[in-house]
Amino acid sequence: MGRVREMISVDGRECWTLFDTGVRSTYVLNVVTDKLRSTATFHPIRTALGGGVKESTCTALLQAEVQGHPVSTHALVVDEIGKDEDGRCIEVLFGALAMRQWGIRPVPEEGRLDLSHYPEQFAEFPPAWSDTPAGARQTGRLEIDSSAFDQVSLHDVRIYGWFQYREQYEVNLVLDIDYLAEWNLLPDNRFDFIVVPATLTFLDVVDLQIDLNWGASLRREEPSGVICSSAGELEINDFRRFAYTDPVYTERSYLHYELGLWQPQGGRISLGARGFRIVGRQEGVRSDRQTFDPAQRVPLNTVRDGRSEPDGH
Amino acid sequence: MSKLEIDSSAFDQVDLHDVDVYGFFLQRRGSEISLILDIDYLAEWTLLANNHFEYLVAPAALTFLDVVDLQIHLDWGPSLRKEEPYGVMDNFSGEISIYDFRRSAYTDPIYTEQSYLRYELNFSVPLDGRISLGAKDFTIVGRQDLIRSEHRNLDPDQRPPLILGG
Repeated sequence: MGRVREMISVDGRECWTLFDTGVRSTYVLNVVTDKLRSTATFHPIRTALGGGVKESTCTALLQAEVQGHPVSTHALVVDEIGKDEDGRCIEVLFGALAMRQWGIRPVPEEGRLDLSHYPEQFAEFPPAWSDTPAGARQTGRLEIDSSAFDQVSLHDVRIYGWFQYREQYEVNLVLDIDYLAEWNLLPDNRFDFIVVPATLTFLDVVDLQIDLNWGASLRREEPSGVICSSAGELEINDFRRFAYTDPVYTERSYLHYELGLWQPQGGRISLGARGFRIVGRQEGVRSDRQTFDPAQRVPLNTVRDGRSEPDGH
Repeated sequence: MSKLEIDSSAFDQVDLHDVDVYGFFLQRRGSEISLILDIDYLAEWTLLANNHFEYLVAPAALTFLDVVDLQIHLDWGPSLRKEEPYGVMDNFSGEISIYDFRRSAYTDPIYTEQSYLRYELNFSVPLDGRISLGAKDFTIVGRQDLIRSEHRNLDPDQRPPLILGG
């Protein structure tokens, strides 16, 4: 998880803001919202935040400038967010979903924000199934390619495994995932999701690095003798893409991709590829869990699902 | 030819040198996780009169049961490089090839009391690649009968797919 503190400007007022990828939603103090347009919620929304439960009855449209870049997002209004390590009151807590939307990436080791992916314009590539009513989306087929990178969020997506598939001179890297096609914040402040078992394929892969370390899984917590086993769960924190600078890559249209994992913590899969594709293997279902029922998942097929063009194309 | 089935009681007879790995999968059953590797197992190497080898090979699943302490480090490094002055490109092979397979005992009672052993797979491709883990057992199960071949690995299109889940 990445956390960086920085001042942002809200209607000309400087606000001490925590950018935290470990928090999904965005929160703003009620004193900041004086100048913001706010709306009462139908129900109180309770959130576990900063070691306590906060309740908000109001949401606001937060329009601010981050390092001179205008951003806007929906925020929950709370009386208190908490204090930072220096005892300073946090006025805005900027969450992962808004950071994803605005291309903001905390670089905690350097104590700064990376806005190199700030979108100068939004290019919308809605998948075919997303322009239908929510209920009908469950029956659509998921198909996304790398032209829609800005609309792809892999945050909290589970990986079940991967394999390499060679096609003549090219190697594809294929990941078996549960894609979260939609997150909905419910009135009781829980999320529900549309979960689709899917195949994420990176095409014509180079420079592959896989570094996963779950650490010591078994430990005895004295004096109760509790044993903890956590090896083997793979969950994505963020999915990033960069341009190469070396002509040997740029001349051949390679881009650099990076999957940062929060489980195992600090895990990383990085590679160069000419593109990627996410294809659902079955219809998605609405669920309050981020993973599909294992017994109901259409199994991955290491031959059929490895090909650049899946069956039926 | 017979169907391949090996478990950890035969560890001393298992040689994974030059065995290719095609994929890695994690499968949870209750509170336990298995690590499954899709491999071409080399059941036999025969040195022929012409100094070539012949192999008895089968596509197989190498499964480590109830995995703990898992570490996977695979790094192919920069795959594309221009070798001056010729400008030759070196493509990423995607190959994963095991160099050796070792097993050792834990000393911490938390592992020994639960019958865990420590396993290590070292790789020749990618160079210095390594997977280490603790597990209670492993199995190697062929997906088709062993076949005699002059190649160490099977044509990907001829391998029966490994189908997981469901």
